[in-house]
Amino acid sequence: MLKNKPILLVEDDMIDAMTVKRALRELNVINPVLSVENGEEALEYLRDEKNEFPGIILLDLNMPRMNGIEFLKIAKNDDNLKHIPVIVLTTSLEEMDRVDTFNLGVAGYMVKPVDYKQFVEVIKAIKLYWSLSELP
Amino acid sequence: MKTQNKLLIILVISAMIMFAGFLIILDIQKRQTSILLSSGEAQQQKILETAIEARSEVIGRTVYDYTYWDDLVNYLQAPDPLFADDNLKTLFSSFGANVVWMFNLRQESIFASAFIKDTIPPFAEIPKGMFDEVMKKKIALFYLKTVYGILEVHAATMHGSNDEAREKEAYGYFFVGKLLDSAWIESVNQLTEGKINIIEKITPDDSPQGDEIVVEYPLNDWQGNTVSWVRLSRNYEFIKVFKKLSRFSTYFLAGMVIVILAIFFMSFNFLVKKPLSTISSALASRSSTDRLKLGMLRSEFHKIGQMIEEYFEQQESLEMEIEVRKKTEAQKEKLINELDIANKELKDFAYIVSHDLKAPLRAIGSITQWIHTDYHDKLDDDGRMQLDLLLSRVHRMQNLIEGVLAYSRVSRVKEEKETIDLNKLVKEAIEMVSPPEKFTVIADENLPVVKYGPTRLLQIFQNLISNAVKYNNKDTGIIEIRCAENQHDWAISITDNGPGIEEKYFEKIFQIFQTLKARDEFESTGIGLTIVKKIIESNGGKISVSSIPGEQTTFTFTILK
Repeated sequence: MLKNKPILLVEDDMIDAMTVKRALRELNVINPVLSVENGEEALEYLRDEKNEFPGIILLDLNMPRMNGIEFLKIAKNDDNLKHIPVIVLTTSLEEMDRVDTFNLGVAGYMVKPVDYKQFVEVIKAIKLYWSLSELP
Repeated sequence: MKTQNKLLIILVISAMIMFAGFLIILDIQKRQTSILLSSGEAQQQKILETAIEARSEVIGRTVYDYTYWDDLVNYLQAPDPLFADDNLKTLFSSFGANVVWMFNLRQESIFASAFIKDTIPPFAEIPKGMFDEVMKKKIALFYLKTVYGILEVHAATMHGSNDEAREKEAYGYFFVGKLLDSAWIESVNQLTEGKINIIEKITPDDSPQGDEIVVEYPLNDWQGNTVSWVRLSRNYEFIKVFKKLSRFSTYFLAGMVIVILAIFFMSFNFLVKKPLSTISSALASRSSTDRLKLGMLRSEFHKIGQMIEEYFEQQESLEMEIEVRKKTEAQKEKLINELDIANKELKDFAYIVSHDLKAPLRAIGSITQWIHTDYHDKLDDDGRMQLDLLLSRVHRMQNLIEGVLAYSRVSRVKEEKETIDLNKLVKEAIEMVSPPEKFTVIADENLPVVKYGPTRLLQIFQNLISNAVKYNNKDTGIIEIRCAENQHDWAISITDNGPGIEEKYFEKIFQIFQTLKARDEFESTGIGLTIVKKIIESNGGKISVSSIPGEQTTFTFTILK
């Protein structure tokens, strides 16, 4: 993907994280994937100046300690972080969640399908979106 | 208290009326007595007058007769002492006279004599005025007061012995006096059967005493002045009896009044007040002893007592019922509360469980596919088939979870009602289902405009139409959407020419996860109709199904107006 910026994956489920990484690999995305397990860890990573800023954040909603919504509320109020595009990757089909996250300024909302092949399709769409949109 | 005051007033008024009646009766009695007395007085007056006049008439007539007597006239002209003494004395004393005078026209005394022992003749003077009066009247009767008592004086002018001579001039005056002495009184007493008194004046103190009737007769002089009165007092037994009788009747009446009032009061007390106070105290206290007294009341009050008792029983049973109802109500409320909590928990539970179930399921699905891909070479056909089966079950599981989520969403997420044109919505639903070419979908024109949650309503039509499409087994599919108007709602029916449903399954098809075909044969979660039913019922409608097996099925549901 563009500029070889790392992808920050905020996901507590190890297999889901594996799925994302596998799909990215299958789609020949060579950007490094940084995996953290919850919102707190994500903020920690982002606020550590030694770490490289990610080009995109793939965010799960349902996580321990700090969930995706809570993370978004903080990140989108942080002048340093609010420009990073966030794509929500979630199990939830709930309208409410979708509305809430879009109100918090997410770039996309993807529902994780059970079928891996469909999952790959979703990641393909993200790649396509990322490739086309100009990132700051 | 107020009622008692009123009753007291009634009692006092009736007592006053009775008392007034009593006074009226008393007055009538008094009047009767006075009438009786006055009639008695009149009678007695008559008797007295008659008696006095009868006594005096004897002398009066004699005087009148003798004034015709020529001898007397002659004597007047030539007085003869012998003649006078012998004849006049004998003559007049024989009928009771006490004194005789004779005067000539010059009013000179010719003869004067008294016939009472030890009296000075004539013991009374004839007053001058009397002569003129006698001359005028020719005959008169006067009374004179003398030292011996009241003197009855008969006077007449003297004339010759024929009627012609009487009409002509008189020769002199002739007076005969009679003392109203004890003998006179005695004789009048005999005539009147009473007691005679001669009194000078009538004073108020002389009012009749006891049972006697008293009348007076005036004794007048020549000038018309009353010199004295003759009083007649007489006892009447009937007055005594009458007075006794009236007194008795008065007392009797008064007694009657008191007795009647007492009886009235007592009977009122006994017949009305007591039962009333029993009733009121029973009503107020409701104690069992007071209520026992209700049963002992008599006559109409007995009925009232029974009615009150019945009322009490009814009330008691009502109170008990209310108590029971309150308890049940409280229990119900508690149950509802618990149910509400349970329901909410269940909703959340269904959501959370389903939601959290999806993550591991997804992991299983992914890894199954990775094994399938990564280890393709190392697996034989059997192994690959098993992995395929595993994957298909993962899909089914996911469908089931999505179904539960969708079902719980119906009650979990409220949707605002909007005004919806059914014509447009049905069209949209048909487009979303996009039935294959073999289907003809016929919808009524002029479908109504309704108020509903748009997503929900779309869900209903989508589900029912897609069912009709999914299960159709005919070469050409026909789906009809009709609408009928009822009083309170619209009845929408969706009919297909599919395989139909046997009646015994009518209930089952609406239950969650119930399908009529094996899942391996026909992939279905069995959640669609359950959701449809839930949406319709939570919007106050009803859904029913009718079918001719092998030919058609009709789902009919209602939308409130």
